[in-house]
Amino acid sequence: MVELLTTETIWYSLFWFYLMAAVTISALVFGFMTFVVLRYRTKSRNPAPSDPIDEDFRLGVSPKRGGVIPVLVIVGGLAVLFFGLTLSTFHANEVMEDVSHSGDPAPLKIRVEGYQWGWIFVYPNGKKLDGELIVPVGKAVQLEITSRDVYHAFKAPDFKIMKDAIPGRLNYAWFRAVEEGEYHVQCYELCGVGHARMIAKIKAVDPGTFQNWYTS
Amino acid sequence: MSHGGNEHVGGPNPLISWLFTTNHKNVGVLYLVTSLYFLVVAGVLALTFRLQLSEPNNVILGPDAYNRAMTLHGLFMLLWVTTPLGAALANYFVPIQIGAKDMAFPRLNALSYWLYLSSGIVALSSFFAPGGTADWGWYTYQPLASLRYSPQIGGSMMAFALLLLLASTTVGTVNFIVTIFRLRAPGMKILNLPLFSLGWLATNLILLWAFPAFMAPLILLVTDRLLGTVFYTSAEGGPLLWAHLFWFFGHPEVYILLIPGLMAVGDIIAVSGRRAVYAKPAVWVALLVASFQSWVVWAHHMFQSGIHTGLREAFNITTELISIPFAVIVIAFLLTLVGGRIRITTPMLFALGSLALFIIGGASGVFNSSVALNIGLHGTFWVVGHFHYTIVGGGITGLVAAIYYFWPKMTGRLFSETLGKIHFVVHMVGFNLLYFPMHMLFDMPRRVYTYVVEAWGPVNMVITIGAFTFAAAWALFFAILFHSLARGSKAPDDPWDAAPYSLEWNIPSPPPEFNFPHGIPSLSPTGKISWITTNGASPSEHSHPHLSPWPFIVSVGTSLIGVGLFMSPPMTVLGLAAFVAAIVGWAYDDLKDRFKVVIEAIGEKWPFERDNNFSLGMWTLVIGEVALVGPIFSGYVFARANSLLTGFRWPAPGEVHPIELGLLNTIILTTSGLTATLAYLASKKGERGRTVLSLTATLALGLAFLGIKAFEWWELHAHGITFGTDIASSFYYVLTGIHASHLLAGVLVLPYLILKAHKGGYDGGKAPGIEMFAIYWGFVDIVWLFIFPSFYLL
Repeated sequence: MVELLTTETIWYSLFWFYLMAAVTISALVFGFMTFVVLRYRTKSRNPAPSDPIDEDFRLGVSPKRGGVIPVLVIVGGLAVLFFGLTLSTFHANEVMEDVSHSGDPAPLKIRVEGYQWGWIFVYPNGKKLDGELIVPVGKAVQLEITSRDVYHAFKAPDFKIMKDAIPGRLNYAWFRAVEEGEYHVQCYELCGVGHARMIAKIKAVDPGTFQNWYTS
Repeated sequence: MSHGGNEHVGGPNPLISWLFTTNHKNVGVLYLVTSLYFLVVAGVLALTFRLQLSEPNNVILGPDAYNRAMTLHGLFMLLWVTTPLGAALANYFVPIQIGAKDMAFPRLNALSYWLYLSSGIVALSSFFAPGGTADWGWYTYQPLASLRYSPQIGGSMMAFALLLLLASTTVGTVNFIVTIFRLRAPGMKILNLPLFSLGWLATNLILLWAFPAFMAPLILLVTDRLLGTVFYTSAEGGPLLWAHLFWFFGHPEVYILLIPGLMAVGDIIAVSGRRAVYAKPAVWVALLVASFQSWVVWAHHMFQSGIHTGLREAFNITTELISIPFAVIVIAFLLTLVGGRIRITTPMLFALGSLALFIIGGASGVFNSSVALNIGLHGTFWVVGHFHYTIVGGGITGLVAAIYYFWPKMTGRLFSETLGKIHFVVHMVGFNLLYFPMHMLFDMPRRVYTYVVEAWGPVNMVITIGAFTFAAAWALFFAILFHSLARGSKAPDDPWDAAPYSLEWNIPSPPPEFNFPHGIPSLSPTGKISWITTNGASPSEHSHPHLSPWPFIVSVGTSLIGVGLFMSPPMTVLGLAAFVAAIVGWAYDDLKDRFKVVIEAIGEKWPFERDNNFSLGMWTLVIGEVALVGPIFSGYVFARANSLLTGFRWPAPGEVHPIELGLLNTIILTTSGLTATLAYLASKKGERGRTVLSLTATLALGLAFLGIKAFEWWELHAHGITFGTDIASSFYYVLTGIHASHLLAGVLVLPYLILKAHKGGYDGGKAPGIEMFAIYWGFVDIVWLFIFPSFYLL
């Protein structure tokens, strides 16, 4: 069986790519920092008056210190790195954003309405659930997210999908559950005293069970 | 804390000299003590909610209390702690580092501080208002923060307090920009400034735009809440109008918090390594580039709001790019140390620590800038970890290093190096225990008072332990400072052997009132310091010409107005009386030329050699005003564009606002601009009669404009068109209201100018009042030239 595309796998592979770059670069900088401090550390309080270092050490700009080349190396190096990161980001973003990349010609379309304090899920046939979204395993699900009152944010961390739920606006996201089970959904934008309890769940069931429930 | 300025024989009593002081060092000390006090308040709030979050389903704080504590923590730490902590050290040291005896406008400097204090008092009082204070998070998302969802009066008080704070900062910004540009010692080129002063200049160039730009959405919020306008509740404005305007300020704010600490770190590194700063011009260019870039990254806070993909990708790129100048700065600092003789002192440890923490914060920031990764990270504890690494690690830890570095100079006392090093260890352990694990909670939402997912529990416990360790580090810090004050041995003038590096280490610790006992400092082209001795004609140091009660009384007035407006009307009346009395008193001092500013005649003034301090100050203020009015106009454009989508019919030209009246007012106002210019030219030539006549004509025209405006408002109200009728009326009332109040302020100043001109106070351009007025009036005219077509013709 072909492995189905999911938003979370795209996200995690991008995340590891960034993490690798971040750890490598930070390690280089920290290594350099440690080396410099240890190498040039001194315990003597007073350098000799004739110390040539002091000649350099005064207000203003020292012509001996600094050149264009190191600056260009930093700017150029980071620019190349960011170019790579950005390309992979844009690619990932395109897939994560547009349900047509899911490979599913007929995704299940759900309207999500946030309210103070809960989530309502409306199915194409008019079925409505409060606090629970039942989806069939393997099917791409497209969410149309909005709010009935204040600014909320819909997020299902397991699928790495998120969009703000804003009154008067529609935002879209898609995901696909590949395993049966219950997944956490929560509001990620402060929306009043009930914010922390604005929780729902996504229940992924096998397609047969879903069909029975959906048509009942 | 005491220093030279207050130790005169026969001086006024210490309380009065603190309340009425205008000396930059005293003001700096006041800022320092106040911001550290607010830091303790906001820190204790954080401890309460860290206790609450230490395990799942905890019940120490309920959601109400948590939301208030979290909101106040954020607002205070950003706006009442970190920014003013930088301002504290800058107040004390920037004038010294540039070689000035005081700020360009010492009384305005005192005013900045007192307004800052009163804004803090109003903000803290809001905690005790019925229904509690703001509980919507520091970024005040709409429509949660609207009257409908958050009716508590304390929320409106907080908005008012923020406006006061922004006014305070803007006054300070104008003052610093003029001071740094015009009051430098001979030979002190911009690039010769130590990094701290250089960084403070860059910070102020950002502040000049950012804080007035924050006033714009806040004014709209206050009118929504108090007058019933519909900016954030209508479909045409709504939540995204707030988000755009807020983050336009919000991201530059980050660099305002970071730069002072980061640049102090640069100085400490150079001094401790005994090496000139590596590639200093590149550091300066990087700062300027970053300041500019900070204006074009705001939408990365809105990646999940559904804004257009192309726009998001553009902001992804701009956000990544802003890390490049900071990488240049960090590497330049590290290269500074190469070939040096590094002395590891307490300030140096904190400087290196701050740099290390900032590097981690910068790296995690790159993740957030990715539009795709942002989907997973936005609104989670990862973000909380990230920005604390940059702001608390890069900004505040750098400022701790700076406090240690400057402490012997400010107090004349040394602190215990051993205790300082212990403090460093506790600080770093606590910090990393507190903020690093937050990155592991990249699935946990921020701003929740509790959580049900058991798996998040253990990490949260570690974070809470870290929070208390970090708090202990602060307690230790304050103990070290108190110990130094009480028991510290006397500090030499130059405890860090930094005399060649910066002026402050060439004068006594603590410095005397006017800073430079050896004469006027001067710099050779190679950066050698020498002293131009004056023939003993230093300003009368025993007559206290620098005390002024008015800034303090203005602040008492505004606090009373602020608290009274929401809690007790009689208090407002009292406050208003104090406010008016202070303004009149200030003007009277000015008329009698009572207050003497101490400024040297010679110095480096590039690129403003041809201006005077007052006109430069007014021009700077006008730029700030543009940054205030501009965003409101952008909001107007945003709402009008949205009205095409929502189907709201914007009133046709002439339908609501009579074109004839608008045109008449346009003619009146442009004419008054002409008469104001004529008054300036006449005063310069010493034609007293003509000056008075032109000013009087300006006054009459200004009054005529206001009369017609009042008539228009009256008519609108009579026809049932009020603040809240629709988005168009909201914008009309608020924009014309802001404009009219600016005009009114000018009209109120005019009688004073006329009086002083009549007495010959401006003959031959000897006082800058009319020039400043003409600049201001010209700005007010130009704003009208935008308002007129926007509401009457289009």
